[in-house]
Amino acid sequence: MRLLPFDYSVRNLGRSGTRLALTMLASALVVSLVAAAAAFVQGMAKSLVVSSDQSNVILVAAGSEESVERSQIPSNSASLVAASLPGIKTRLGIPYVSPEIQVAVVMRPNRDSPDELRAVLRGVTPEAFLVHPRVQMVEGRVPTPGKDEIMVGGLAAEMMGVPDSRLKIGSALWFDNRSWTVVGKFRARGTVMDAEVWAPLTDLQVATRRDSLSSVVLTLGEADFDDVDAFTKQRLDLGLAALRETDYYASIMRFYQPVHAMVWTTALLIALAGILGGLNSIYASFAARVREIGMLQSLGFSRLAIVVSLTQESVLVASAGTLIGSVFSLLFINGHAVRFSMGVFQLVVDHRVLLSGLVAGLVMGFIGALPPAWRCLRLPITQALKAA
Amino acid sequence: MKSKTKIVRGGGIPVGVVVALLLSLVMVTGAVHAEKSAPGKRQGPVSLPSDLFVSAAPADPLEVGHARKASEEGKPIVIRGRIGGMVEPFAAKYAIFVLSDLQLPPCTDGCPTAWDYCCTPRETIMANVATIQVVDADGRPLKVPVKGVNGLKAMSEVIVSGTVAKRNENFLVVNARNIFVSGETK
Repeated sequence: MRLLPFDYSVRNLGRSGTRLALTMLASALVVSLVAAAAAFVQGMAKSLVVSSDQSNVILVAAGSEESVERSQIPSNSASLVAASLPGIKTRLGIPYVSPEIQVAVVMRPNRDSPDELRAVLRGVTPEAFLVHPRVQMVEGRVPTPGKDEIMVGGLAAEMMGVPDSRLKIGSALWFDNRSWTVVGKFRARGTVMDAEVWAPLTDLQVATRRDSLSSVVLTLGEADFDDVDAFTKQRLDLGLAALRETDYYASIMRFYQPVHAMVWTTALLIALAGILGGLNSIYASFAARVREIGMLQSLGFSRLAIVVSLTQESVLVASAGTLIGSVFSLLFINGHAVRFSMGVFQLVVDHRVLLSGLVAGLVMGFIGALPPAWRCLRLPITQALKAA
Repeated sequence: MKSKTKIVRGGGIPVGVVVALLLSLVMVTGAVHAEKSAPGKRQGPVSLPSDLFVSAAPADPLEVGHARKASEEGKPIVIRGRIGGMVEPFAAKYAIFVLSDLQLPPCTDGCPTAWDYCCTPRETIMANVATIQVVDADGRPLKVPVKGVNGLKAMSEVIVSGTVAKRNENFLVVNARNIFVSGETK
């Protein structure tokens, strides 16, 4: 089969600069949209996966396995676990056992401000840094108990909807009828903890008027998960349930699957609208070339060869649009923070996301050419040559 | 000046080296033996006692709720109940399960499982459950799962005879010697 020269397809792109630009822009928008949807899903998944450690076990109240914030366990649970369960990881005699409280609160910039700043507060002891190794102090110091001091994560400002400078060292936030001073900043990149505010455990217990804990997080050494599970069944009085940290965050991912489905459905519907709009544009451009196509057939080029050439044109335009959309995604979508109930995560445009965009763009280019090309080639040659 | 040090050789190998090798061998052998006898370590594969499950119901069983109040640590006990009290009442890899009082009503209305009794207040559940475990000669739970053995599953009604291992106002742990499976709550 004799194909049309490739440069024929390339030169045809310059027939109408406006149409070319608009088609490229449409492709770029569709690719950016698909990339944004994929980046949303990827970012949330990574933040939840990276938040979890395979060696960590979370002890929560039995019946509260799906939400640590609803869990209440006895305040002596951590010390009992550390004393009763051999095989927990230790360093210099300190067991990797972290008693914690997690609570979603509303803070204010100051006493008189009506603005509400939503934050996730975690009450911790120094052992938290052992069981959460991704948490690193980057500025200031750890809060001192009893002094109404807090430290903030790198994305805590995003969570609250305030500029980063609002949470600099020395600034204050209003909570529980008193001022809390920011004395430290930490980063826990890629994890939900990066959007949290950490306070001394005892201070948060006083502020929330509770003596119970939300959870105990421990890191396994020689013990395995089944040892911890057996312990929870031997000490029924504590009312504990043991979860692998990876399983806990995996269950949260499953909880958000309807959201993911909705995001993807929205993206696909808009992409479909983009494709149909593009089809309309391509129909118009091919319809104007019916006589030319008839001439090509009379010169001996087969219908298949002409379809290949028309498809090349469409794919070329779509590829250019895909490239623009991919660059746009990398520059403006990658790293953008998104708030959700558990905190904040960043959109991630990685190789998988770029591949999704690329596939979407190329499919759009390929599919976008076929129906119009088929319609143009249906006409008999004599009729095509007579077309205006 | 000649060195006065003499090296005694036996067959071309210094005796000191041979002694050192023998000592090392003894030490390693001793360490392996000690390792196997250390707390928490077991020798060989573990299995449930052959006479654990009985075909005749032990007499005069106490209900779980009553046993929580009336039992004494170290004394023999016969206790009757239904396996349940939490979503997963069996330990995955140990011979441990949770036994609940027959008075606790199974609830299927919005609960993950009928046997977690989520319709019942938590305090009531906690006051009417006990831990049943099968232990070795050292009093440690056997590292062998008991779920599914001899028809044992959640909602199974059982009578356990054994010894009270631990008891206070907040929990009861029974070392089981015999288990009779009487049926299943539907």
